[in-house]
Order: sequence, then structure tokens, then C-alpha cells
Amino acid sequence: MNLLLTLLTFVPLAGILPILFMKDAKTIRWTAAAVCFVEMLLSMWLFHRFDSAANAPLGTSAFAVNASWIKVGAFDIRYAMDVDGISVLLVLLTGILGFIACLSGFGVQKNVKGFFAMYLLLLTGMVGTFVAMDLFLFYVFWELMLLPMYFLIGLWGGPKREFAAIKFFIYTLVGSVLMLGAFIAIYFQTKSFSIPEILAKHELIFEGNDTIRAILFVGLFIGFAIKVPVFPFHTWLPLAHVEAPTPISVILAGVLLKMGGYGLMRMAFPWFPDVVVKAWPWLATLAVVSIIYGALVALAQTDWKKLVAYSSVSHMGYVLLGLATLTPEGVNGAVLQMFSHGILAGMMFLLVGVMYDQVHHRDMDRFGGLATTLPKYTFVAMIGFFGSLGLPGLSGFIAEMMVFFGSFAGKLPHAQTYTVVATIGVVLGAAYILVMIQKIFLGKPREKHEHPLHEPNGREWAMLAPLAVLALWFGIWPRTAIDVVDKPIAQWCDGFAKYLPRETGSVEKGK
Amino acid sequence: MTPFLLAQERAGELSAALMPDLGRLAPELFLCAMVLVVLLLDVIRGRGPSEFHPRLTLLGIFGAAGLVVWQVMQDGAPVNVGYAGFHALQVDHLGAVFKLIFLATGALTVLFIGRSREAYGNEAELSILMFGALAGMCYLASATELLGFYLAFETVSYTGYLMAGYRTDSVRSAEAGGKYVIFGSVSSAVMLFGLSLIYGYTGSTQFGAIAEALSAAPREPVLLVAAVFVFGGFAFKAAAFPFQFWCPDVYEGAPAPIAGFLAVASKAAVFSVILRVLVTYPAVGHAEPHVADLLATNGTFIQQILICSAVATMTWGNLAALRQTNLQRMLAYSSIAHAGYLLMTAAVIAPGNAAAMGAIVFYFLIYLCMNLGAFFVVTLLRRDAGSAEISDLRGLGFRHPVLAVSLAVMLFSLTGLPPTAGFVGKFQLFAPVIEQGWYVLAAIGLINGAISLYYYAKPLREMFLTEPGDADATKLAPTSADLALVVLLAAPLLFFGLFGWDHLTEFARSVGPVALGVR
Repeated sequence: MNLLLTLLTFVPLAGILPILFMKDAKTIRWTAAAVCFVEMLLSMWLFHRFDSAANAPLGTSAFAVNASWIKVGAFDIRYAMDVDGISVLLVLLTGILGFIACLSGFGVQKNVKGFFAMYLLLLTGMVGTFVAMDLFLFYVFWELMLLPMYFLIGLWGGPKREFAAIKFFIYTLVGSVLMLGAFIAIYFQTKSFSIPEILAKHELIFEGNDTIRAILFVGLFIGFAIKVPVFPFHTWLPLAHVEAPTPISVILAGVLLKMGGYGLMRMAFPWFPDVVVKAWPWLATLAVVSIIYGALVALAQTDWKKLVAYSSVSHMGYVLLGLATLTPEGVNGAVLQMFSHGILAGMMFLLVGVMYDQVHHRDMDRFGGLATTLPKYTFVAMIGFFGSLGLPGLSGFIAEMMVFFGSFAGKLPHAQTYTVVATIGVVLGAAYILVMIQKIFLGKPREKHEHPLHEPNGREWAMLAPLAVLALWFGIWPRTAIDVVDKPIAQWCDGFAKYLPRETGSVEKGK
Repeated sequence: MTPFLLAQERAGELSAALMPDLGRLAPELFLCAMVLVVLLLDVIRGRGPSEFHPRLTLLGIFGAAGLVVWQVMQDGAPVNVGYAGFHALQVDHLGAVFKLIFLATGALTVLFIGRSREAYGNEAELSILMFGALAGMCYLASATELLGFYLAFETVSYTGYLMAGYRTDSVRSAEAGGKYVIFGSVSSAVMLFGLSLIYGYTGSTQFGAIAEALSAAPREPVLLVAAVFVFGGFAFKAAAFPFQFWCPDVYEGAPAPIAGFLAVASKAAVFSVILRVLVTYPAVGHAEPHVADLLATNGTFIQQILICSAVATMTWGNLAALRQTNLQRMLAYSSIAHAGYLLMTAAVIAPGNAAAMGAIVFYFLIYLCMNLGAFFVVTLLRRDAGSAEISDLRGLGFRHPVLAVSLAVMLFSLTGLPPTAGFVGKFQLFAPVIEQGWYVLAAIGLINGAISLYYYAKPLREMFLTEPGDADATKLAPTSADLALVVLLAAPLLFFGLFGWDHLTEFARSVGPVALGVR
């Protein structure tokens, strides 16, 4: 039995123990950072060792763990973990962002011990969610993540933190109880909690009863869509992202949103392929509305952090669109977008945080001329913001392009129309990013500051520089990611092949 | 032979037949004897030191628990108690588990009262009431016959009225007692009328015979009326819709430990009867529900009543709890909501479905820890801060982290979040509902669970998120004994949430089929 996944999941949890007995804030910070660093190394080791060529079916890879956990009556709940290319990539993202956000957490002054204890617990929940292969285990990790998040937002957040925390908590919980209901129903049909086993038996879930299948899909979809978030389930996001302290905003945008996408990919879509194909107009509409609505609202913001928050709604819309196309290009694009958005959104929140720490406000109309006063900061900021805008050469571009390729070539009805409408989102995206850049970095300083602004310090460079490098790297050589996820995605798409409309698709393609 | 001798001989026969069965009544008889012992001692000793009665009560409760365990060890299979085909009681594992739940609740309540330091006039009286209530509950858990059932039910009710209004110096407590009496007697009368209809129609007072007669005529209008009336009495005790309105006032007015006792033990007592009735009533569970068929048009009438009441109870309880600012009152509403979840699962119990029955038993074992624990914190709050407003908890997480974290575990468990046992309990409650295809019912229940988070999070917010100034910080000052008790109640919630729950579930399920063995 390979211990790597177990280690990855529980190293942060074990890290809490020494922290509980420490008094000195500095020791606590460095211990937490050390734990997160180990965690990052482990996630890199996993990425390095993962044999993407073998493309082992889920549950059979070299890292698979499968032990009996709870067995009572008909319930056979197992401690089952495994990874495929998609989860490996997301675990890598969690490891990297986990360490960087931990560094960012050094700025927390209040109740340092509590903060890092909660933070490490959150990390365990996140990694566990990505590697769990048993629905019960998955659900436990999924919910485990909510508790620390509630406290992290509610205790260390901004002025409206309490409301933001409870809204986040309740929204997610409503989604997850619907998901739980669907899980139980699926369990009684397949007699299994095992994710790979359910995938193998997915046609047996209420075979022939389209209504119930649709209901179950909707239950799962809402559960995950709240996390993504897809319009109209997104209203918790701006509040939570804005009120959360910087490191938690990074984790929220960088990792938590990906869980929604991961859940859709791992469960909702492949278990109900027939429903997905029928629901395509709805899914595509929701995706396109998310893209455009998120961008439009971002355009209207004066609060810098809110702009970044709404840009997440827009960017995660591409993920849903890419997945719903069911084409390898589109799904590859969606996965790349998840990874790329994790890096870029994390980076943008850090950039906002770095500046907020100096000026203590986020009103874009009060900034100006940072390009002249802080050239180094501006340079790294441009990588983040232009990456988010979709500038070629940075990771956002390639992801969005692949989503558009995939959806344009999609065999589903009116795929081209949806694609064309979605591209408006790119224009709007450029608009809000450029307006923001103009307000903040160009022109002349609009305010005198008591303390002159300074360039990022060493710790801040340690957070920003790796992300900038990653954004460049995956923009120039996206194959680092694509090679890992390509095969599982091709297989994933095959699962839908027999439900796709063949004839009409080829006609449309020929037009 | 003179008539006198004949009568004597008859009596001799009767007692010879009944004598072996007295052992089956050992816990109940012991508890009744304890009532007399306390009465006598009170006369002999006069007002003793205040430590004496709580200790005696605990000792008595442990004695009764010992007898319950002794019974279980003696009889593997259920034993019917009665004379010449008249079965008054069934002594079995189901009853034993519930008896132990009542006794444990009673013991903890006595401990809480000892820690509350509220002025209780004569502690002997409280002991007597506690023994009386427990004797009634224990009998209820075994009763298989209407007369004995009704007598035990009333014993539980009357002792409950007196306990709720026990603090004669407190207006709220007196009001609580008064309300409880008035609503309680009305609902008892309604139930009694229903029982008389059942007797009149079926000609029997025994559950088994009634069930057979009922299944022969499942839609007889008289019986439908009777079922509604009888359910009224049950609903009152379980604090279920539409007889839940007394609950918040009584639970808030009564001393906190007593409120906890009523919320857990009384509710468990009613459910012990509901379970016994349901497993002996063969027509339940034959329905094949449609997907979106909430009202169970296919279900039996009893199922329909239970489902309607379950939905209304949990929704009303949760929505009303949202606005509460008093912790004790909030817990009262939350206990209404929990009655709703339990009724929901009770509605889908089919003969032989050990999982659904086990789920209810399991939930009570968990509920005992989490709800009593929460009421214990209220007890402490009322002792130290004088009131039980949620805002009185402000800053508890910073002042007394152990107490605050324990309460948080209990609240998370009441919400049903992993990794606490409350989640496992809820999971098991919902599993049979979904298994049998009641999707809408399950969805309503699940969403209710999510709503409940809002009010369970309120104390969390006060404890952890609001940093106290010196003026508004909590006045709670738990002693180490208080903390030990709280941790003792919180620890199982974490343990059974992660590891041991398969064994506990197996145990909870094992009591069901045994009860099914004999009709």
C-alpha cells in the first residue's frame, strides 16, 4: 500500500498538533510554513512520480489506497484514495497555493495559533476531497473544509466577515446536503460508495427512469455549481472573497472553486452522461451567463478586490462551458482553466493584498501612477492581470482558447452560437482589466500617502514570483499540464460518445 | 367450597402464575419502591444535607439500570408477560435499550441539577418525581397493551408537569408547569378518546390483536379518526406538529436540566412506543412511493399522518428557531425539529427493516449526548450569568476554550456535520427514507438540516467570532467538574463520528429484529 496520498492528506492535520502547544507567534508561523512546504514537496513528488503514460483506471494506480473503514450491514465504507491525471494536477495546485497562502498568512496578527491551526485543517480537507475515492470519505472531507473556512472568514476577515462567513457556510451546506441525498440514492442503486465502481455501473442508476436520473443529476449539479460558482448560485462568492483575509481569498479562489469543477468532472457528468447531453442548452446557457454577467459586474466595481472576485465568476464560467462541450479540446481547456485560474486568481488576490497592507483601502479611484512609483510591483502585477485577461503567452490564454475551440467544434446543437456569445466575455474581460490597470497603474498618483509606498518585501516576492513563473510556464509550455490530463480526459469524453447526436453534428460542422 | 375459599384459590392460582413474571417488572418495581423509600426517609430524617438526595437518586437509577442489564442477560429472546393470553408487557432488547436511555438521561439530569445550584425547595420531592417519571417511562418502553400504556403515559405526563413547574419561586417555571398541564391534559383526553374508539372497534386492548383487526380494515373511517386522535397524544409528548406549541414556553420556563430531561427522555419514551406499535402493525411499509409523491397517496394512513407531521414539525421548528435569541428557547425549537427528523424515519419503518429502526435507536443514543450536553451548558449559563441569552456566551472561546469547543462539537453534531456523530446519525436517518424512494421527503429534511445551521451557528459566532470587552464578556465560570462533565458528553460525539459508529450501529440494529420476533 502506498502511503503518499495518506501522507499528503494528513501531514497538515498532524502539523496542527505541535502548533497547539506553541506560544510564540513567530515559531507558530514558521512551523506552519514548514508543514506547508513539506506538503508542497509531497504534491510535487506526486506530480513527478505519477505515471501519466500508464493511464491506470481510477482505483488501480500505483498510489491507490483501499482499506476497510466502516462496515455495518449493507454499508461498506472504505478508506479509498487514488488519483488520476486530473486530481494530480489539482493536488499540485493545492500544494503550491497552500504554501504560498501560508506565507501570506504571516501578515495575520490576531490569534496566530488559531489561524494556522484552522488553516492546516482546511488544507487537509482540500487535499482529501481531491483524492478520496469513496463517496462517504469524500463527503467527510468536503464538509470538513467548511468548518475551518467559516472560522477563517468569520474571525480574521473584514468588516462584514460574520455575515460573509455564515452566508458562505449555509450556501455550501445547502448544496452539499442535496449532494448527500443524491449520493445515498445512488448508493442504493449501485450498492457501492466507491467512485470508480459507480462509474462502471452508472447506467444501472435508475435505468430507464429519466426523471429520477435528471433529479439526481440536478442534485449533484447544484451541490457542485454552488462551489464553482455558476450563476445564479454565485452570490456568496463576492462577499466571502472580499471579506476573507488575503491568504484565505487566495485559497478560496485558487482551490475551493476548483472543487466544484472537480466534482462535476468526477461525479455529476460521467455518472449521468445521457442527462448531460440533454441538459446541454441549460448548461451552456448557465456557463455563458456566468461568463458575461461576471465580467459585466466586475466592470462596474470600484473596489479592487471585488473586481477580482467577480472576475472569478466569469472565469469559472469557462470551466463549465468547456466541460459541457464534451469534446477533448474543451475539457482539456476547462482543466487548464481551473489550474490557470488557480494561479492567476491567487496571484491577483495577493497583489491586491500586498497593496492593501500598505494603503489600507481598496478603492481603485484613489490609486494611480503605481507604474512610475513602484515599477517592480507593476511588472509582476502585469503578469497576473494580463494573464487573467487572456494575453497570449500566459496561462489564461491557452485555456480559454481551448475551451472555445472545443465548444465551437462541439457536436451539440447550437454549440457555435454559444461559443460566439461567450467570446463577448473575453472582450469584457479585457475591458475590466484594462480599466483597472489604467486607474491603478497609469496616470499620476491621486493621493499622498503618509508613508511612501514601497516595493514588495522578500516574503511578498516569495509569494508572487513563483506564481508569475508558473503563469508564464504554463502559458508557454502548457503540455506540462496537458500531458498529464490528456488521457483521462480522452477517456472521460468517450463515456459520452454514445449519447451524442452524430449525424446533425457532422452536418453542422460541415457548414 | 365456600366462595371465600374459591376466591382464595383463584388468587393463589393467579399469583402463582404471576410470581415469575414479577421479575420481568424488576426495574419498574424497583423504581416505584425507591419512591416509597425516599418518602419514608424524608419523614424519618427530616431535612437532610443537600448532598444526600441527589446521591440516593443516582444510586437508585444505577440500581434500576443494573436490573435492566440483568434482565437482558437472563432472557436472550423477548418474553411476553401476562396471564392467560393477556399480554401486558414484552420484555425485550428494544425496551431495554430505551430503558437505559431514560435512566442515563435521568442520571445526567440529577448531576446537572446538582451542578446548577439553583434553589430547589425540597430535594426529596425532586427525587420522587424523577423516580416516578422513570418508572413510567420504563413501563412505556415495554407496554404492549393499551391500559398499561395509558397509565404509564399519564405517569410520565404528571411527573413531567410537576418537574416543569418545580421552581415555585420562579414565575416562568410556574407558567411552564401550568401550560404543560393544560395542553397535556387536553391532548391526553383526545388520545384517550381515540383509544376508546380503537377498543370499541377491535374489542381488544392488545397491540397485536389491534394490529390484526386494523390490517383487516385499513381504511375504516372510525379507525382513521382514532388514529389521528391517538397520534395527537403522541405528538404532544414528542413535541411534534400540530401539538408542538407548548414546547418552547415550557422548555424555556422550566429549569434547564429539567428541560433537557423532557426533551430527551420524554421524546425517547414516545418513540419507544411508536417503534413498538409500528413493528407490530403489519400494514405499514407495503407502500411503493412514487418519486415525487410526498403525501404518500400510496402509503398507509399511518404513514401519511407521520409524514405530514414530520414535514410540518421539522420545518416549523427550524424556521421558528431562526429568530431566537435565547439559547434555551432555541434548543426547545431545535428539539421540535429533531422530533420531525425522527418521525420522518419512523414513517418508513417496514417490518424487518432493521436499518430504519436501528437508525432511530442510534439517533437517540447520540441525541442523548448532544442535546443533554447543550442543555447542560444552558444550566451553567443560568447559574453563572443569570440568564440564557445567546449573547451571554460572548467570548467564551477566548475565556474557556474547552467548554466552548465542547459546545461547538455538540452544536455541529446537532446540525449534522461531519466528522461528528450527529452526521452519522442523520445519515442513517435519511438512508432508509431515500432507499424507499421518498425523495421529496428526504430533500425537505436535508434542506431543513442546512437551514438549522443558521441558528446553531449563532452561539458559535458569539463564542468565537466576537472578541469580548471586559464589560460584555461571558460571566460563565465553569469548575473543573463542570468541564469534565461537558467533555464526557462531547467526546463520544467525535469518537463515534469517525471510528466506532459501525459497532454502535450494529448494536442499535440488533435490538430491532429481536423486538420483531414475537407479536
